[in-house]
Amino acid sequence: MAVVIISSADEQTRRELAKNLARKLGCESMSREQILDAATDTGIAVGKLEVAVLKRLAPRERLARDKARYLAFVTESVCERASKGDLVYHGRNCHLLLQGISHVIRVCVVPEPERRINNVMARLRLDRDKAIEYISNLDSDLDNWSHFIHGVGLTDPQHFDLVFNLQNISIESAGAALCSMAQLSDFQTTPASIRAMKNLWLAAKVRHKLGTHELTAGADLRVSAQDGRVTISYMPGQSKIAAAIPDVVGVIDGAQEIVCTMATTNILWIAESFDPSSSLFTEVADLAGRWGAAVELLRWFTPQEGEIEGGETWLAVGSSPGISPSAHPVPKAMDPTGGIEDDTEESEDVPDNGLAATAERLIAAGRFGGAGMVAGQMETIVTALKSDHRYSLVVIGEMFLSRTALLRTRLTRDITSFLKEKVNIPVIIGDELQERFLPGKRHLLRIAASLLGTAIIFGLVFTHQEQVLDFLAGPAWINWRILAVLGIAIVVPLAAYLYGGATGLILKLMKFE
Amino acid sequence: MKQQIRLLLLDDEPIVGKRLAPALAKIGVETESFTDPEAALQQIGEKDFDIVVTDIRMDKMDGLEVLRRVLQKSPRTKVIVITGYATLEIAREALAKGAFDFIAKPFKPNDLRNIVARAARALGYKVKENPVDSSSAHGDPET
Repeated sequence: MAVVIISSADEQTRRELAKNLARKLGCESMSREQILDAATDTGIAVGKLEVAVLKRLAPRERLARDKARYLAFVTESVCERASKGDLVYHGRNCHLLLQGISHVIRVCVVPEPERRINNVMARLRLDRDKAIEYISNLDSDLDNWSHFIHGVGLTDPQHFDLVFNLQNISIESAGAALCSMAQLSDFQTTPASIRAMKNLWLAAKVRHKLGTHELTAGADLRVSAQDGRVTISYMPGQSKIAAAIPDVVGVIDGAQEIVCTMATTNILWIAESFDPSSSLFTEVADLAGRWGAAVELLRWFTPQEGEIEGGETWLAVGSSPGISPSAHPVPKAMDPTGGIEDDTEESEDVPDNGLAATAERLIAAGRFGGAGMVAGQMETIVTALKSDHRYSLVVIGEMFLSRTALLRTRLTRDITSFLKEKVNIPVIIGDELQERFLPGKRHLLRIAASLLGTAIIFGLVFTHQEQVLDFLAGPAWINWRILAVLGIAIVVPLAAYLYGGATGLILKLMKFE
Repeated sequence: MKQQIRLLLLDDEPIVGKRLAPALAKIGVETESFTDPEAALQQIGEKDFDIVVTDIRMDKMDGLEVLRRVLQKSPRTKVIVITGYATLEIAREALAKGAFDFIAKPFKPNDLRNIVARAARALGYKVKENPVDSSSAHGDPET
């Protein structure tokens, strides 16, 4: 069974190659555009995603959920079609959909530039300059789309099995080459590759169902499937939603068992400003992954700097207060409003210092536990903490940005000390996170030093056994027993400390914490 | 003398015109709604409109064809394209062909009001910064 996925920025080129190959393989070709229409017809706001990329809109929680729904729908559709037999699927960056399935051939097609310009001029009835500008703008948009949806560039070569540059090869020859390639043993189905596709398909089906049901559409659920067993993880603040999950999922073909698990703990990240591209974000997300934790974001600022005073706005889902039902609208297949929603009071343009963008990244990583903003004195942070959320760590990020560096450091330490006193949870400054909880170069050096120390102690003991035994119990030292006792009291704990430290760090590296 | 901003709204779903016309009236825009592209084009031929808002996917005619004909007749008219089936390719095509802006369904009336206000300002009308709060029933040409 051959599954060939053809990606190209130029729709006409990929369509021609897909048709050519499908004819050779004796199967049908399917395009992204066909799936897109079906997705839109079921109420998934694909157009909003596309326009968000075009207009470079700031990431929003709602966009992140629309993105998840879109990906689930497309993955489900492609897997369903691929399970029936040979498939040639083409789209702008569809090679990133079925990752980890060995019998899928992922092909990049680079269109012949002059032909592309001429095609655009003829099809869109544009003059040459406008056609070139159109192509340039579109290519830039498509690369942004790839980053937005999949987090990687459109033409990143490591995601392709083959690249055709149509300046050097005709579509007919490219089709023939792909047809031969599809016969290679490397791209034949195996029990493992079929199982991987079934797992992907099942997870997508469940994700799609959860994402389009009113009870679960606003929840951040991680779905994975393994041989018919579906595991759905939810965040601690969403325990009420969790009860409804089995009913929402219902009976799904291929699902033998559905297990709901809760992220065991929460990490609270408090900052005045968030940056999803910062090293602190990576460290917090990494730690959340290691601990199976959800990350809650709390933007805190002092009143004189803030837009609101003493107020609190929670964007969180599930049990968090202040969520309007319209915050997570459920896709509607038959929209009686003609696609015109009601105006709401919410402002799309309130500056949030990276809060929404960071939330969006956490949603994509399945680690989002809620987000909120609060202004006021330090006490407002304590009152903002959710009593029903089990926090295991509070991370203090960028704070007091308008102050000088020296004052900022002092105030950050003050707030850390204040929170340590007020809440019974470990509180740590972001700069110390790597050192305390995540393996880095320092940890490697400590492992090396500890292992070296342990080796020296054990080496000396085992190569000087006679002298050691003599020292501990020999007649020559009979009057110096106190030294033997002191020696044991010092060396044994030292050896245990060094060995224990090294093995502990090694286990941390192996994520056995 | 104040002059009304004239807008033609074309969407083959009647509910769109019913919902948007009152919303646009709040910023002093006089809206004529059409569900039939040919009837809309006939009206455009007979009367000048400052702004045309058109859907793309319609049974009788493509919205991009409407865009072409509107600009052919009146290059100063600002055409705003709306669609439930937006793609980057279609949006770029519309913009390359002279559309003023592009908006994907579902959207809130205020989203369109903002774009219409921007188009009106580009035509020289004075429109309040926040159209939602605008109490001005009329646009006021600056030129």
